Amino acid sequence: MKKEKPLAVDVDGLLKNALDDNLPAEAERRMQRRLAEFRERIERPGQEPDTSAARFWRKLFGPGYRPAVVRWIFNKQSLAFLSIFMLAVGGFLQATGHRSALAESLTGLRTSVTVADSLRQSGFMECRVQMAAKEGVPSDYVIRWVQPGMTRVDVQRAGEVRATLWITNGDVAVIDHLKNMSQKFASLEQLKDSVFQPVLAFLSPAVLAENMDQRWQLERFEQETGSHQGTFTFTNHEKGSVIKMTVDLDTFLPVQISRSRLGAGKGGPAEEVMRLDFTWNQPESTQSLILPETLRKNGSGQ
Amino acid sequence: MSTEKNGKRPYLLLFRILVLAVLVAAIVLSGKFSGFVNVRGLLFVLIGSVTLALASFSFPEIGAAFKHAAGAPGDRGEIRKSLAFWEAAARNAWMSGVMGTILNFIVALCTMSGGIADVATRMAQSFLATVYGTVLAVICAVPAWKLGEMLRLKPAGNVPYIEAKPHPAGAGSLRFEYVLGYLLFLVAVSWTAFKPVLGIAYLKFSPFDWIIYWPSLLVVLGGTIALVLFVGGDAAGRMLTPAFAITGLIGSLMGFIQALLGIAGRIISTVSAGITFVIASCFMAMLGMMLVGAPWEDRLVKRGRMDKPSALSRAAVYGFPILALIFLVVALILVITPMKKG
Repeated sequence: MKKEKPLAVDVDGLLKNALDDNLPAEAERRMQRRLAEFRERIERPGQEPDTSAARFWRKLFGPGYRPAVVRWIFNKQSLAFLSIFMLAVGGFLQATGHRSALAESLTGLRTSVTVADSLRQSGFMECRVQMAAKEGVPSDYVIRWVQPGMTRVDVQRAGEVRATLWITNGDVAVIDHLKNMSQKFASLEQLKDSVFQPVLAFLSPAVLAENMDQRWQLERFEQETGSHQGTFTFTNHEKGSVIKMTVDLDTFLPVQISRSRLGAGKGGPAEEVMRLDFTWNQPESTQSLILPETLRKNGSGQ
Repeated sequence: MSTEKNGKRPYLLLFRILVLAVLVAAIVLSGKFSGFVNVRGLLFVLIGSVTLALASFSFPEIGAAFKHAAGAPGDRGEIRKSLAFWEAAARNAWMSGVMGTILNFIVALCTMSGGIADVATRMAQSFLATVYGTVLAVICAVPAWKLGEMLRLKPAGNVPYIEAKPHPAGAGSLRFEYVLGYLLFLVAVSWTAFKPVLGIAYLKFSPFDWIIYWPSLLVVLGGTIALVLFVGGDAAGRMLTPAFAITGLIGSLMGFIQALLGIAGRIISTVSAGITFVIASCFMAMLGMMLVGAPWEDRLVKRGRMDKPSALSRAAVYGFPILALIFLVVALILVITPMKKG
């Protein structure tokens, strides 16, 4: 008996040395947490497993409250079915061309950029401009983009050409056929109050493309299903007008442009003031495109 | 003496922040950097960062984090929480910046106040929000580095005993700050979308239609749920952030494939649908990471259920936004590049 006592003391000392209370705080904290979680689990054996979903629901409404519907929704099988359903519906909607504001804006922008680019690269074009009778300009126009830097505009009345505007590499000249005289201008700015004023925005492909890029605000682009044409609606706040441009989606060139006055505040339909019909074929006769002799003397033109 | 010095430190920090704010205001007001100013983006980054902090941390925790950043003493557990706050703040600022960029990019595309040139300029300017977010992230990362270093140098033996208390169910889960944080964040997102169209009488689409694209929402959400279910168990919650990033990435790649097919077939509507899917997938994934994944991890870290976010989660939080930015740049290029004639 006497011999056992010192042995027991030694064992205690040995244990104390071996199991010294020097566990790092982090490890101790984690161990305590695990123990607490384990204790919590065994103290409530009848309850369902402590899954993330169960914890989430407990956090929302407290312990014990979990209606059958919610239990069904947070069921693993239901969630798996839901996820597959969502993936399938999402993929289906995307494949069938789900309509969205962003996609429509992108289509309008990209088509507009492409049309502006096509205009800049375009060759010959003839455009007939019809003015509304109310506009006070009793004339129609024929605009011809002859080649880059060269444009001819005829003012017509009753099928007779009254005046012609020639633009050749920046030189501007007007021929009055009735008075049989010609006049040169330093720039297009000086034509602002003339009979050519309504068509100044369409004098060259570059001007039209620049208007699309910088001045006209793109409101929307619409394309009918199966059609090879689309229609842009632009607003020109400076002039207070709405411009509708119909484009061919094979060539990305305009087919028709109509300009109307903004009917803001009045509530009524916009009043059309001019319409332009474009023809992009090569000219049948080049006679009308030849620069008059009087304008060639100063070296302007080709 | 020491206590007095420590007491003055928060004021010193406040003074420094004020000096910095005055400097920034002077630069902005000088007008010389007008190309680098995007007020809406800046406000979104600031509001987004603050509200996301509220979604993860309580007011006392935020206050303690500021005090520790200013040099106030604290035990190892408190400093760990403050470190988690500043790391989360840096992450939130970075993600808010990218989110602001995506939102402003979408708004620039859907609202046109000038010609195409104006839209392209506004799309490019939307990237400024990322710059602001990055700057704010660096500012928030400084205290995190400082506290990390303190934690490394602080001897573990001085740590007081921390009683392991399992988090009582229901308590502290739906705190006022969390609800406020989420609500304010959603208000910030809505404000960014609605502000440009205030006063416009007729709208073909509401601003919610710009930012909620159902195919992307369903794919990202469905994919995330599927991934989380695959992982299962306790790790499921930790998987939320990477799952959102992975499904966002897959959605974006699918969108790019569709856009490329549209380019090959010269069908502009298909290209647009593809680009929309890319942008919307990035937006939805980012939103999921910011509103669900990141706050979830923050709470796990705070409660000691995990030491720090996993490497995969960190890669998702910092890597996915970079990918989203690259996708936006590619989308911008695709939008302003004309379609070639066949």
